[in-house]
Amino acid sequence: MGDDEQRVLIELKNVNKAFGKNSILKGLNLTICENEFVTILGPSGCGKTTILRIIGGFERADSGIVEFEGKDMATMPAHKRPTNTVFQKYALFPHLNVFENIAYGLRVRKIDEKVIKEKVENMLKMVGLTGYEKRSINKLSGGQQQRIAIARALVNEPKVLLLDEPLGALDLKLRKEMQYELKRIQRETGITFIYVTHDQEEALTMSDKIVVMKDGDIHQVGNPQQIYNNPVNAYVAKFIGESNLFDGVVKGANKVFFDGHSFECDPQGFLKNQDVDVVVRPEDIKIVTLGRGKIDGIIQSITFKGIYFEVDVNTGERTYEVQTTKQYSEGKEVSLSIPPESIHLMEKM
Amino acid sequence: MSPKKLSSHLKDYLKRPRTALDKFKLLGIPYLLFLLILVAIPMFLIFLYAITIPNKDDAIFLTLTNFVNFFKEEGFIKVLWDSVRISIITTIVTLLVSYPLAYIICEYKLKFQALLILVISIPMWINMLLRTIAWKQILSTSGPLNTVLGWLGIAPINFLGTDFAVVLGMVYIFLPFMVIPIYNTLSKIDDKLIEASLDLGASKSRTFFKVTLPLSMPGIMSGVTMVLLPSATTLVVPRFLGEGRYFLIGNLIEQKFLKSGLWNYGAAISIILMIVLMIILFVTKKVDKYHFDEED
Repeated sequence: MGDDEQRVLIELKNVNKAFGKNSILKGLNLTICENEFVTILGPSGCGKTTILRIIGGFERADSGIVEFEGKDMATMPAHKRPTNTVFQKYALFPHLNVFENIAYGLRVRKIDEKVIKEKVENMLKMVGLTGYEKRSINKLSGGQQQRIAIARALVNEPKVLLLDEPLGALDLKLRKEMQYELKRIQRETGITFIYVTHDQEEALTMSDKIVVMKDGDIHQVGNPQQIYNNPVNAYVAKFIGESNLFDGVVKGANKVFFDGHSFECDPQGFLKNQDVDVVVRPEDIKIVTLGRGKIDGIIQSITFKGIYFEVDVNTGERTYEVQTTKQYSEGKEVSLSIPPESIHLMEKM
Repeated sequence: MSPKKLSSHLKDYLKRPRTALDKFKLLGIPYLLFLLILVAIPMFLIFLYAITIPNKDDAIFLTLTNFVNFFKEEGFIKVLWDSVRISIITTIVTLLVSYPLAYIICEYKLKFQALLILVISIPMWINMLLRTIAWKQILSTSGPLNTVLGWLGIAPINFLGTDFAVVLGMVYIFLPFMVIPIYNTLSKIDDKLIEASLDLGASKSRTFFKVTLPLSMPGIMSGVTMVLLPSATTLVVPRFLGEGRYFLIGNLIEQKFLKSGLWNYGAAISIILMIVLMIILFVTKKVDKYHFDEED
């Protein structure tokens, strides 16, 4: 995770793409550096898969520039690009066994049989499926197919690996396991990963850089901490996790007014009397004894979430979502306190 | 397993509680009866006729004479060879025409695909005899084909009675039986597999030979079966387009059964043909080296 200068690998400049009358990408600019784990995050239909398909060569941009290491690659056909893809539903060849699936790209390049064997074995080892060479694809579980799909792409040592919601079809436990696995593989190989998902948790866990998208536009690019702690607008804040959102007004050098109260905070970069969106993460709000905090309310509901409780506190005006490890009882009157550093101000959209 | 154990297993099996699935199995009985009456019994009768000779006492004599006679008569071997040759050529030509056709159909939008398939199968709704006679007209010395050739300054050619005419007629008649199964498998191939192959560096032609073709093999196999079998036994095409020069095995069987009344001999010829076709199909299946669900 470096803020240090990295070599630019892929650059999209003012890329537009429409299907019929549907504009999918609107003047998109995106820079992807070497050795990065980049996640493109957004709801379905936001154009994230289209970006991947444009980079992979399966779709041509209507206008704009797609550069790879400074060279235009708009006209380069898919089979000549230095990218490999892990498809959403794996797209493994059903008529070939595990070995032949992984060896497919190597055979195209007419590599010596001995080297192919060695490389395939190494890949199987990396994804933890040694000994599966002769297995039929149809006899593998979803997780195993997923691993083979990754191995089939990685064995070609691409400069960029494109992953299109590769964990979508797996169950929660397997998905978590594969998240760590993918991150490990990315670190070990040093290959740039471009990962498309709608799952914010997946994005936060794995990425060096997250690109948050909506309706063909990029809303924010940053590392997971930046995206989570300093969302640029209410859309990003909402998309990237549970949050309490308020309409607020900046009052003076260190005050913001929202929800009927004035709070201390750091309104850097905002003007006095500017309308802002305010976000407070549920884990940053503290439940205190009645009268000790700025906001008073009644505990409306408590949901046990495993390592914490999700508590809804009704103040009459609104319901605050709070995460706490302490156990409270429903109906109890409490106060809420918000530390100044937990109040994030954002431009109105 | 001891016999005693086996019988107790059987008892357990019969006594076991009936499940919903068992009830569904009962629904299969009418179909089994159907198969028995329409397939198994006729097959058995043909076999029975083939290995017996008629005699006055109504006693059954088992014999292989019928088979031996066939191989003894020089002309009959030629008939078998002609039938096999014509049907193999027909199958290959039909395949070579149908595969590109099915492939091109798959490139169109779904609605247009359905229309094209309909157009290809429309001739099937017209009587085969009529269609064959129509070809006879087209190919005859005074027919439209020779008229066109005449404009080009080419003297009339009698196409009838040539391999060309017979194969053309058969290809025309059996084309839909090849196009439709191939189209069905081709249209079911996931586009993502093609993309995956391109993504892994394979060119379009390599992708065709390494992914599309092997995955469409089941369609090719059923198309080959559907064309090879009827073209080896057809009566109509050789009769009308062969100008009497083509006497194929179907015609021979017809002659033995209907004209000469030699049922036993006719049955033996049918069985020989069946065995030859089985061997051809077996060899063709061996060529198809990709088996899905392959075990180790």
